[in-house]
Amino acid sequence: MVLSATAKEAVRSIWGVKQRSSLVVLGVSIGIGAFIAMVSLGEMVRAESMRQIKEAGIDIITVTFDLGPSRRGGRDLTIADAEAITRDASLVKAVAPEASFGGPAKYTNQTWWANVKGVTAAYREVFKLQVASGRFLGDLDDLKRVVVVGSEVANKLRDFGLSSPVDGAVTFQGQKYIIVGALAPKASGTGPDPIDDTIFIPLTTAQRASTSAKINPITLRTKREVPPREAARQVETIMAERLGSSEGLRVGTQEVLIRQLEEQMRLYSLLLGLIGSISLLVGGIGIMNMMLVAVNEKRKEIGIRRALGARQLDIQLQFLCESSFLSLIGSFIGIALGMGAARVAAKYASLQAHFSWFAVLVGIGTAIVVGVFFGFYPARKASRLDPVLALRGD
Amino acid sequence: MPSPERKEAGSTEALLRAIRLARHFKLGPVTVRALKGVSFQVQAGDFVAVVGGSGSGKSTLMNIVGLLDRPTSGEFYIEGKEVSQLNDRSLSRIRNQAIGFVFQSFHLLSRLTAAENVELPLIYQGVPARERRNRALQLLERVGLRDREDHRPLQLSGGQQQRVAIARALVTRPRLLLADEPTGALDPAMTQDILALFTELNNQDGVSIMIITHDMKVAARTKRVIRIQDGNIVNGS
Repeated sequence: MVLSATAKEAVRSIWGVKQRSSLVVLGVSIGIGAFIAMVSLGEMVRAESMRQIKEAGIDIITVTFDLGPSRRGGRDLTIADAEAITRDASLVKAVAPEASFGGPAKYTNQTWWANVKGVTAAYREVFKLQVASGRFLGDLDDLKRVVVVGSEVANKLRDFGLSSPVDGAVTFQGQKYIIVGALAPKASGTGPDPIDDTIFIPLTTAQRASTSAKINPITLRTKREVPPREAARQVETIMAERLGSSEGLRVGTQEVLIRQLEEQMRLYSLLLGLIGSISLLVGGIGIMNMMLVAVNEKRKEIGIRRALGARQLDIQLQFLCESSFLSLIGSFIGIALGMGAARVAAKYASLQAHFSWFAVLVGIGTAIVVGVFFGFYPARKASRLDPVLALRGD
Repeated sequence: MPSPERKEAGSTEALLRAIRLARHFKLGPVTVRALKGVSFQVQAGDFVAVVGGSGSGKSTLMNIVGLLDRPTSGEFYIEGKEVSQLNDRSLSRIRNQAIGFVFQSFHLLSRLTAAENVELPLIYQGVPARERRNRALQLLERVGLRDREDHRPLQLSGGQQQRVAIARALVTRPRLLLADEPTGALDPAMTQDILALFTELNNQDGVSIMIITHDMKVAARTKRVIRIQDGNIVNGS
């Protein structure tokens, strides 16, 4: 058949100028490799973000102030706010106010900078924490100097010589705190979680210990099957009533977050795709250049083939076949390169690498498009040569 | 698609018929009139030489007869069919099936073997690979190069290359073998050799042949001479 003979001829022709062909293939490989790496990375980042949000649960609502103190009626969030929400918001299951601050903590003669959170018993339920040993903070711990340590903190203490943290003690701001519990690691294989490196003390204790321990945010978990947005509206109403205005108050659902994130990811993917496309473009230009040279070199051959009965279409196909093969070979190498690069990058960024058929399909598809697109002009030029002039070779 | 074997024995149509063929080239402001309205006929089975000096218009005539070029005006018939205004697809098919080209500088593709070169026109007919090879080998046998099928052009002498080119021209069983200075690049011994082959093909196989040449000694070996000068046929139409 004409096509199989044309394909065979294309392979021979590519093989005939090995050095030039391999350079072009290299160019295309890098182009497609970069493209695939970018697309894969984008997909990995996206998957990771979605996973994190899903894990945190979309039934989470966060209450914060997002403007300066002057705009929020001159006060911060309070335990009373949390209590009011607990009491009045019928759609909410658990309410966890928290106050974060930090300072040097000490065990025997070892000192480190500790992230401290003042929390209530509800914190555990809202954030689904697992206790490894001892217990979590309870209602009866108010104002007591007791502490629950995150898994990383427990590890640190173990390094300092405290083999089992429960019933040990750490010193914070000159006060001795008794460790009543240690948490199981929250982090999954994909990255650290700040909770693991945190020391939890009763919220009331925290507020007494430090003036910088302001409640922000209050985190809520809605009841099962309740649309988060409805619960958020309820909470917003309650808070607006307590504050006299909802100005500066932000009641955020994860739904909004997911949407924001998706929007961000879309832009991100677009950007990465764009960067990849540029290298693809460069590879394509390489193909076009090589094909133009080839057409020029093969003027006489084109004339001969036309004299022997090749149609313009046959000539065009011959060169298109050649450019498509070049980019196809480039795409196979490029896919391997790109996947490898994405995998390495994923490893360093602690992302979960996954094999993406989508990226492979995109890679091969793009290669064919690049080959045909950038081969089209030279092929057309070849097919339009005047056979008489072509035969003369000028 | 007409069968290549079809013979026009019963037909009264001439193999080639040209009526007032003219071909003008525009070179900037100047119009060069390479052919000034030539008319002639070639019958099936003929062996004719088109003779003229350089610049006489004989190459232009050959390009039009070979359907590589279109006349500016006039009519050109192959077996009674007007072909001068056909589209590329139809012209290519006629070139492929009805005409076999032999060039002065052979025009073989150097990266292909002799047999592959002979196969080339059959590719554009969609002939399956095995049959292509068989027919190519038959033709190589016919021109006495059966044992050189795997040689590449550069491994062959000029005369051998021209024989391969002739085999390639004949592999589609064309109505007309169109040869442009076929001996122009050959030494006298090889020239005799190739001309003998042409004569044999014309006598024994009934191949119609048109040779374009400036060499009267070559023309003398044909049955008929068309003399062209300054874009006009001066005798033998």
